[in-house]
Amino acid sequence: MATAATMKPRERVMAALAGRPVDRPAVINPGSVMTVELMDLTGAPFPLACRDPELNARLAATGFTELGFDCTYHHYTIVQESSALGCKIQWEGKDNWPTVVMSEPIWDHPDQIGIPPGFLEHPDTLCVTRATEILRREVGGEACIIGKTMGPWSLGYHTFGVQNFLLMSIDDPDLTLRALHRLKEISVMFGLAQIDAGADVLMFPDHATGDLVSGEYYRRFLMELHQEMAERLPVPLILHICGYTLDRMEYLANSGMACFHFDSKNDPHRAMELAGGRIRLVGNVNNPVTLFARGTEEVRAEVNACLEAGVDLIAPECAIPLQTPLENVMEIPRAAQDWAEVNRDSVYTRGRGV
Amino acid sequence: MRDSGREPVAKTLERLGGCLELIPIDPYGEDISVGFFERDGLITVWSFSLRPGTAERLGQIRDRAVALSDLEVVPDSPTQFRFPGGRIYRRPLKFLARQAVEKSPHVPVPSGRIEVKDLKSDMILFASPQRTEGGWAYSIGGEGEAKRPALRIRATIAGLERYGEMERVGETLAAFPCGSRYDGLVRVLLPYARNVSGTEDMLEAFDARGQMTTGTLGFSQ
Repeated sequence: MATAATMKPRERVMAALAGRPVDRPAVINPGSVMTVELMDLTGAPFPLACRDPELNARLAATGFTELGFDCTYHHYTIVQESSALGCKIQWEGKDNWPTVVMSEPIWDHPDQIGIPPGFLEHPDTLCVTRATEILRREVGGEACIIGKTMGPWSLGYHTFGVQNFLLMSIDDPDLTLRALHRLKEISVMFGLAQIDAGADVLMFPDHATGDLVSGEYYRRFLMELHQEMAERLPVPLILHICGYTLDRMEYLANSGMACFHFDSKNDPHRAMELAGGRIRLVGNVNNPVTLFARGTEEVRAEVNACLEAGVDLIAPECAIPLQTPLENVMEIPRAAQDWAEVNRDSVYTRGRGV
Repeated sequence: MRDSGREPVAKTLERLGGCLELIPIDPYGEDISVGFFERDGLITVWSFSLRPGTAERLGQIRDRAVALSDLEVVPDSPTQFRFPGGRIYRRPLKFLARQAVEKSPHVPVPSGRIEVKDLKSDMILFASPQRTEGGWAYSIGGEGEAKRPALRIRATIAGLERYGEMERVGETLAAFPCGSRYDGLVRVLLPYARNVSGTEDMLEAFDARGQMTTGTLGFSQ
């Protein structure tokens, strides 16, 4: 029997992000937990559910109403902003993720970067903001509404092409910084629009991933810029960077972000140690192996490992595979509740200090 | 935002059991997803889709799965079947599920000798059921030209072990550990078993689809 919840899910998430005591560990998904089965259940398949606000919100709500997470998350893809900027999008079908066709970049110099008129009225950005309003209205009293705005490094990949952008960062760091500073205005504009629409928290993916760029790169190009984002976007921001990131944890801890969403390539104990309470951590249940291909026992073991390490909020490491068995996804909140039942006095219930 | 008349997902899963295999798109069922769930030895073909015609399509898939595999229908249940030997073989079920859902329901169910053309020689590989002390086993043989036929037969048995959860019980013999005779299932498995590297590539491609990684997002160089 699980402990009686004394906090509403939204309250729990906001408290956990601030390091305040919670009745039990918050379980969120700052990445999609949508699967093909949930698409069938709601009649909202990809890619339609990424482009129609009603379908988008209906699908997203299931993360809260059916799976038992403390939040909703509806900006499923990485493409919405880039579509509105004019990038070519491969929308794919129900069983795969839409992607930006990065082999056909739209810009090759920072001076070309501009926000097109009507950016926020483009159907693919409007889908996200309208869905935010719907979710706020329908479940916002209970669930934490997590939005997302892509960071400038990710937008650089989309608009310049991955290879071109990385080469520019080597050949001309000043030019790259100019590009990043222009691109960041897109992140801010779309983030503020979602906050106005009712987002409680924003996910901020900026794919300076461990397998592509070094920790030093993060310090040099992004740390200050992220500090600026945290000042300009007045809700808790959850930074997401895939891959191995312990080498840049010192910088991430000083990024000004409320929280860092980390990958299963990083040991949770070590990550918590390095973060040292300067930034909250959320993660890091493995997707491709544990959630996708193993069973509920293995999922539970990973959740417990995160809880024993004191990871601030529990979540899958990234957007889960679209064919993940639902019982595995639902095991995450269940395991966290069961752990809380056994560990009634813990770092979660005592709080961390801000 | 939940349809108040609908059973919660948690309750549905409690009823159905664990998901053995999930096919994301049924090309002959209006692109619904189809799951094969197991509880207490009963396998249920299920979809969360509320589209009209879903129940009929699930029944058709169940019937096709049983016809292809020599497994057993559960009486009075149009969407359930079971392994009559009791033991559930998860890995072969994955291949069976794909065949039942993704292949045209109008293609006749194959019959006759269990055989397949070898991909690495001119041999026809075949499996013949035979009685043994522990129940049934399958003798794997080959007809036609091959440089090293014994090697190809050994490789095929290794494939049956890998994808069929079968056991090698003799030089050219493989059997299901429960000793059951599942001719249809062996027929489904034989094309995969003869070509382990190709099958691995295929399985990897299935698994990669729908994964959001730096690779699938195009961020890897």
